[in-house]
Amino acid sequence: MSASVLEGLQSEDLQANARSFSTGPALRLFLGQRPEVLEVRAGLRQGTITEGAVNDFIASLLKALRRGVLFPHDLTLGALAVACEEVQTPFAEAFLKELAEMSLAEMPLGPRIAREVLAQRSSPGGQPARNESVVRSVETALTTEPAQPPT
Amino acid sequence: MLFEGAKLLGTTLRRLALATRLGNDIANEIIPEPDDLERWKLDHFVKLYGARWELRKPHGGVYNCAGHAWASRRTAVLDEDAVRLILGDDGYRSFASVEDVVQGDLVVYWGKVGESLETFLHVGMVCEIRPGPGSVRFPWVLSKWGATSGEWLHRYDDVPYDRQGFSPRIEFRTDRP
Repeated sequence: MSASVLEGLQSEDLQANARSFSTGPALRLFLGQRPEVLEVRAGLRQGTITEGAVNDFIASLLKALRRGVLFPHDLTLGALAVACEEVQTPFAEAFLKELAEMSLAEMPLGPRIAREVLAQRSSPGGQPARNESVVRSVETALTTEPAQPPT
Repeated sequence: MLFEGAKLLGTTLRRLALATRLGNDIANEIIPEPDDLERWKLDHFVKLYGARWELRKPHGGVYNCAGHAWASRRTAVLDEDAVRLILGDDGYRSFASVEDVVQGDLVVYWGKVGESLETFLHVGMVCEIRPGPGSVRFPWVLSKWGATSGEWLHRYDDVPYDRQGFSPRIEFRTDRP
């Protein structure tokens, strides 16, 4: 059961659509809406997906990691990171931190997504770890009039 | 513990010295070539959205859309902070009207989901201006999707983001005075 839900992160449609993006914030927003990711998140919260199942899933993905070739499951790990965003367990925290610290050319996006997830996770005081007001002020400074497509 | 095996690969990152016009370092890294499974996923992405796109170059690694626009296809710029740094430091001005677009201008795609902050989605370079019905003119953009797709020429508004849950905003940028 839990393994099949995790396998959903490799669905053809999710994987194809994720190929639109190449930055952590955009991928986090995209993946955070996907039903496959939300289903994994629910399973992790409810305990129907066990830590052992997640460990086995990650281990099976990593078998495809080869030096000098882009890791084909990079974005699957990123999707798992987004699923863990609202899961406050030591296991989820450890997974996110370990993925975020990875520095491999073969894995360019999963660690960036994990870093974005960690930045967005609520701190114990309930405030986002990332300073949203600073981000917003930078964005305001850069904001310009929206483009007008032809009608 | 989860990634002990992966760490045994050692660091394989390759970066280039790259800076903005003002001299600030631009974080970048060179993307390895995709394998057959990655190419299959990319083909499916193109089947979903690329019915009217025109292929310039098949799938490959090295650079992403931002690396195409700002690093001459030498490396990938994968961090939004770097994109914002480039837009500020390189003196690109924003303008609103599609009527003012000329070849060489950039189209920057931003998007938000619900009440999220707006985030960078994509960038491409205008290569052609094609006539539409009446006096309408359509910029066509050359861009690379994600980090490993090929390059396609597409109409500036023929992008997947509104079908992927984003409220997109299209912004034109130019280095022209």
